Amino acid sequence: MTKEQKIAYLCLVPSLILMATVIFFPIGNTFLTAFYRVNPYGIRLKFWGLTNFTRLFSREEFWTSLNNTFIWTGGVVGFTIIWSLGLSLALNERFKGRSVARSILMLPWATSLIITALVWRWILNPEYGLLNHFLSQIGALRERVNWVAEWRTSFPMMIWIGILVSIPFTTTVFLAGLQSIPLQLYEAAKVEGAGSWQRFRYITMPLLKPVFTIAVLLNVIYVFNSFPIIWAVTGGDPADTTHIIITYLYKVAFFYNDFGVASAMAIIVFIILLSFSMVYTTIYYKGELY
Amino acid sequence: MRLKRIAFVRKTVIYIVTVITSCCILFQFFVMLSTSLKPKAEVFHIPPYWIPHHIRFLNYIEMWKIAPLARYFLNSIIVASGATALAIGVAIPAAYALARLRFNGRRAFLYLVLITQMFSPIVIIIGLYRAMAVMGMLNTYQSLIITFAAFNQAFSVWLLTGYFQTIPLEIEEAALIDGCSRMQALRWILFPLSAPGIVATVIFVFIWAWNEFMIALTFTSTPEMRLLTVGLFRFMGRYEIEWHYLMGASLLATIPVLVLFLLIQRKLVQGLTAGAIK
Amino acid sequence: MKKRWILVALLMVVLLASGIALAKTKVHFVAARYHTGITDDYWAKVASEFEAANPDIDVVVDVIDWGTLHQKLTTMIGAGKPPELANIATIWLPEYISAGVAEPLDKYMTPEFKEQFIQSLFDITVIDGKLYGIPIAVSARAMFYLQDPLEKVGMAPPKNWEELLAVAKAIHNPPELYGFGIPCTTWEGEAYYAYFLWAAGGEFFDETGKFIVDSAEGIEAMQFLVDLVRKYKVTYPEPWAINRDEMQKVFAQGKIGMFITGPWQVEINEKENPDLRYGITLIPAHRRQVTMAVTDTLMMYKGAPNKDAAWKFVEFAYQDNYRLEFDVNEGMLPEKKVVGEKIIEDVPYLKTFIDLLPYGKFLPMHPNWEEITGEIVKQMQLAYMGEKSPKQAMEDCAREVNTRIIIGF
Repeated sequence: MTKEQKIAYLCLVPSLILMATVIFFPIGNTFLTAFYRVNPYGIRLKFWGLTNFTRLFSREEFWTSLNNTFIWTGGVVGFTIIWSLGLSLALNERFKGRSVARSILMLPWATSLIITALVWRWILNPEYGLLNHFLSQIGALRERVNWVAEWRTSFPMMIWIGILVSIPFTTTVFLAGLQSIPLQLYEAAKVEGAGSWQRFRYITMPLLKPVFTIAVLLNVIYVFNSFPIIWAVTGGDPADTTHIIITYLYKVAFFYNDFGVASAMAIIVFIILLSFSMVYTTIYYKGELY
Repeated sequence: MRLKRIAFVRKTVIYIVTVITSCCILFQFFVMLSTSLKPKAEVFHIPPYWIPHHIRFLNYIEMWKIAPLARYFLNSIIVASGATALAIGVAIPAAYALARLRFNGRRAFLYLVLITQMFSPIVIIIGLYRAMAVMGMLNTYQSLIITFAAFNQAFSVWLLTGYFQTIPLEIEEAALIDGCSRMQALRWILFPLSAPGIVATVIFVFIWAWNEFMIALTFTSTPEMRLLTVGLFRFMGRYEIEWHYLMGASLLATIPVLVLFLLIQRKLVQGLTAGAIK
Repeated sequence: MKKRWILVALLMVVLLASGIALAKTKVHFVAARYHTGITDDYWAKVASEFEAANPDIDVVVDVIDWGTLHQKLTTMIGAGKPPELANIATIWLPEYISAGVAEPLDKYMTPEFKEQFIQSLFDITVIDGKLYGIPIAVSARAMFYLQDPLEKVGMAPPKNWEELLAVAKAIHNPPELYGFGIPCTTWEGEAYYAYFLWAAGGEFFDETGKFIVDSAEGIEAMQFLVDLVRKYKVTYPEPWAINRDEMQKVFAQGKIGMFITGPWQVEINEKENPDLRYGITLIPAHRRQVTMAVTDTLMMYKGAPNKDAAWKFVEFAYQDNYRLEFDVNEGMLPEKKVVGEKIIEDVPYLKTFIDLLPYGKFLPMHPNWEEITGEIVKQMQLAYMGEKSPKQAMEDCAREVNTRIIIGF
């Protein structure tokens, strides 16, 4: 081993130990559980092969929630990334009221997600909630809407909430990336006659790329498994049509006490996210990270 | 002339984007503030009131008597700070190695770390509880600090690696050629330049730990050890939720985070203009 | 040198002290929160008074909200570290018994202790001849109605289904007032079917254990409910989108004419709309008069270490004064006979509910009841949404549940 390699491994060890002691064992446990018949408390009874998976696939709610999860993740991450990019570029400029804007931006992030979700459920109530009241006052609402009553009103609304709570983090990540770009690069470019757009395209975008790519990757993984909003706002109703995988998993595990099927779901999630990560990093990095 | 017009358009666009975003965000918080100041009879009034007819500041005093909020705050500060320190302290060396050193297993480590993020705490909560029970650490600060730090390795390592990579290698190499040791290059060049990134990561981990619910609920069993987010559920009875207290306490809960942000955010800007380059 | 010895001495003192502290027997009690600010303080008080009388026992009370209670218990049991005692919904008891984690209480309980209780409440926790739980919170349901709308149309509170429909039709006046409220989510949605299934003379299960909501009575009940929602349209719209807690608020604001709920609604009305004029009456009958009696149970887990100490705490906490305080503060019906007599003096409106107890039926005790209710609620929602006929919904529900009973959930 070269000296460099020795140093590298030394640097990695603390992080590895931390994760191994806390997370790896429970994950291993979940892997095993998916292939076993378990009692209502997750204790393994006997080997069951793929039975949990076939039982899972026979449930219609699973496929609905899988579909919903893709819509949810795509919607939230897609709009968040675009909005945050614009917002971070704006906040990177100096203007009056910038620090106020930055502080306001922090509010959704500083609030616990489960509280935000509960507050929105309150806001969305058609009788005593403020959203319908507000919309009818400004004339945008003519007849009574019960937002959580059906998928086509509740799901977009939940995606909206997801976007609002994801923007602060993503914007901050982009901002930090933008501010790490050394000023002289811009100055040198200006001297050579480059315009705004050219500076953006040839300096900002390439240098922001590692951060941007990571923001997308982490957001996708995080949003895919995001539990509180869907759970608190619709709880998967009506009739289990608005579930995403993680909320349906919770229901199966803690309401139906079926940890075998729940673990099988966790593995499916893992396979999806791992595949996405590998494909995504391969396309976007093309050798740069490695 | 043309330059001035471009600047004006630019400023306008910036203002529009910022104001629209702020309004969208503030809606929820306005609701929270208004509700927290309503007497109970007004919280569910139909049609709802934007502004309370009787503003009841007393709510903010009563909530401290109903739930031991001070203790919850203290616990959250201790745990979140500890978890952040541990998470970042352990992630920075790892990120440095991934960003700057050559060795086998870079890709493997990165994916390994990412995998921990693909399993929501919900899925592994029973295993986590068992691990803590076995180690005898239930209902302690340590169990939460270690667990939170572990769960944040993925974000921390990936984010920090990305930020370190944003700093052009040439700057450090120039310094090394000039006779700096690796550690010096680290301290005087890499860290200051990536300070905004480190700060962003610190904020992220702190907030994650501050707001975490599932693990905190499971690992703690006494009011003395409860964290703030779980403690807020004290305002939920079987038949109803005390919305005015819940929303008010939630607003108060954001204050430490905002304070942290305000303290650190100067570093976010400073890191760039510090001119550590020359 | 001296410093080091002092340090060692200190260390030994600390170790000794912690050793003594550790030598205390710990009893873990996972309790459920009924009312903010009341339940937590109540248990803290009972626990500290118990500890004062029993210095070698430490009672750790963990008060959890109902939404996350079941999950936390599952986690603790799954990890092999159940608490000694837990305050659970009685319908969870079969699940724990069939998993073998519940401790029978016969050997701890003296006949004198048992005597104090209203026996019928005790009976539902006896399974296979063994007693597994003690009632800790009892409630019954009744129908609340708004006096003003009924007086305006000159009608009396309905006694049966025909009158219910007539009154609802007469007072229904959206969006100011909705005739009848039916919440249909996983939060006790099945109760709103039970009220009507039982009134029609039906049951959930027959004697052989078959799930029979597709019986004539079962379909009749569902048909009536769906007609109220879709045909006559006299209910709060979209029942699947509102839960019982929210509907309670809406009733308190005077927007729902009639609504079946429990004694706690009185307090909600008082706090949120003191001027509301309302009354309490029996649940509309059809072929029989019913109400739903609900108990929550105090149970003990087999796998917990300090069960004898835990029982001491149980006996202490069930003294009359503590039970009276609990029942009065939380708006619960009494489970002890003596307390029952006292409580009517303190809380007169509870008399209506206590009088209903003889008509009380309990939800079935089945190990997979939670999943069965999920299926019931889902089919009900589909019927309310018009995606299925009530007959189809109940037949699908029965078929699904019966299949699962055979092949295992």
